Amino acid sequence: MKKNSLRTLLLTGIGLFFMAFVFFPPFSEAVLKLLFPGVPDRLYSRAPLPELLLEHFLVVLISEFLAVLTGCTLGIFVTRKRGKIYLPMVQSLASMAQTFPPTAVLALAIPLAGFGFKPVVLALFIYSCFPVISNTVSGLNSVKGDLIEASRGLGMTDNQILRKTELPLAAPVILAGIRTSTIINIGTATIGAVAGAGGLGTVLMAGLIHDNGAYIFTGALCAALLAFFTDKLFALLDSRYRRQP
Amino acid sequence: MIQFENISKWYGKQKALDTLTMTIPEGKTSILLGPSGCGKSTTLRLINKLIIPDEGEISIKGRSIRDYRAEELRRSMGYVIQSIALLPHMTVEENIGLVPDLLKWEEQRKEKRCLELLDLIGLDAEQYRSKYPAQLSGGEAQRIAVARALAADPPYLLMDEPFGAVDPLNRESLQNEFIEIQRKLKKTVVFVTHDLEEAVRLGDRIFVLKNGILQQSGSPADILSKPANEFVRDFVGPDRSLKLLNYYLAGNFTDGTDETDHPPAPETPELNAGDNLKTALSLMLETGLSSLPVKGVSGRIHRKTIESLVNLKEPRNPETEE
Repeated sequence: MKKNSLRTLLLTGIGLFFMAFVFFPPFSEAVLKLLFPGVPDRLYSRAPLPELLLEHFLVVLISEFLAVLTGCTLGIFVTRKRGKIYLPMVQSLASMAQTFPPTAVLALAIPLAGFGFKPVVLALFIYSCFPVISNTVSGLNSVKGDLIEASRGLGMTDNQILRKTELPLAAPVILAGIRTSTIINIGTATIGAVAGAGGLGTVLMAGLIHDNGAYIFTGALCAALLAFFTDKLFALLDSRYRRQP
Repeated sequence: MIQFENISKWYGKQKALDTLTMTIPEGKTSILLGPSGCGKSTTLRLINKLIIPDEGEISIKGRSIRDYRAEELRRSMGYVIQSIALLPHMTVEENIGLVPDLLKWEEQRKEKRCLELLDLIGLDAEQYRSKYPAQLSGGEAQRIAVARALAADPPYLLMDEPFGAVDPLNRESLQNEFIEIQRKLKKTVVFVTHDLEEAVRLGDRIFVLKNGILQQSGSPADILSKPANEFVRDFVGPDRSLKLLNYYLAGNFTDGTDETDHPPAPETPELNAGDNLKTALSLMLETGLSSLPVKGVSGRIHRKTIESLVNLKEPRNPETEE
């Protein structure tokens, strides 16, 4: 009980700090001044931080949305009777693709797809698909055969078995896949700035180029906190799902 | 009435069922009995089209099951399996409401039916309706599975070793409840088991299978007293006489004489009409009496009657009447 309220307090504190840092420049100026007293130009001035955060969020949201849509559909397809022959192929592709470092993905995407918002979204979308696919597959495969058998015996159609039995039971595993994929996506999207997609990576890159620790810190901190709170959001969603014993 | 006509089914090169022909009577409990691998489960799953036969024809009330859509056929047949298989993400009420839901019943009707069924299986509705399967004991879960199968009031009930995973004590009470429920509902039940005692207790008709071939069909008394071949004789066991006595109820075998003038001695044990003859015999052996009164039924039950039922020879030691 006490531990729980302490956690809530801590989370609220970090949340307030995050808000103030992004939306209230005098605050971030003060924080950065404290951390980087020697750096003359501490506050990134070419674009306001809220705008960069929103850009970042949009890149992630769009690519992740597409990834969930595609990943779940593909995962469901290869576990159906019709798609079963593609299962080994899709599974090995998914696990192989996940060994790819995220940085390399975007590095490869630039020569292949070019610069700008759309190519970056495309690259992130493809990369984010794989955890979703593999978790959808293992989630659906983990549903016990006798439950499917009983559902069929009660008179459910294949479609109803999927909707009423398989998906609800696989949901926690699928959700875990989406969670992993989103968190990786938020991190990988910072590199998207190199390819001209904007977002928090812009500040980070500027810091690297101009050897400005305050910029690097700003970009990295915001991306990290965005990932942190997104993860908390998923945790909340997950506990909602598992409220039954 | 479910008719099997020359049904054969192969699994690869293995023949699971061999030209099976049988008729399952309406409104009775029919037992498919046999050792594992005899094809009894396959036979059951043929009825609701979970398995399609390679040869032959199954018809229900004269109409081939080919003419039914599999889903519709299944919704008219309750299905209970050994592993219970309640959906763990749904409450008891949602589990019971599954088939009504598929049949698009209204919420109110579904709820009313759920409460009715919980009452029928002897579980407190308010206490159980919102529980999840993980919160139930094995016996409770199996009762709910039976309720789920009965939810849409299907005329047929298919049960695949439904009480096989329950401990012996619970199994017996489940069997008794099943007998009670079936007495009220008179469904056409097809019940798979490898347990002879269960078959004899619950069955109106028993079909004995071995290697996909029907060995014998008949009433439990037929199977026990007149095994058709060596296999059935072995399967029912050398103590088939006692098993047969298990099946007969004491109330039906009194001599019918009016004994009100000669009340039995106060220490004489009394049988209930629902006790079986095995209990009667056991009491006779214990007390040395050659006849016993039955509560609420006129007349006494005689040891000789019991002996003639199982064709035992005359007792070697003469009985001493009290």
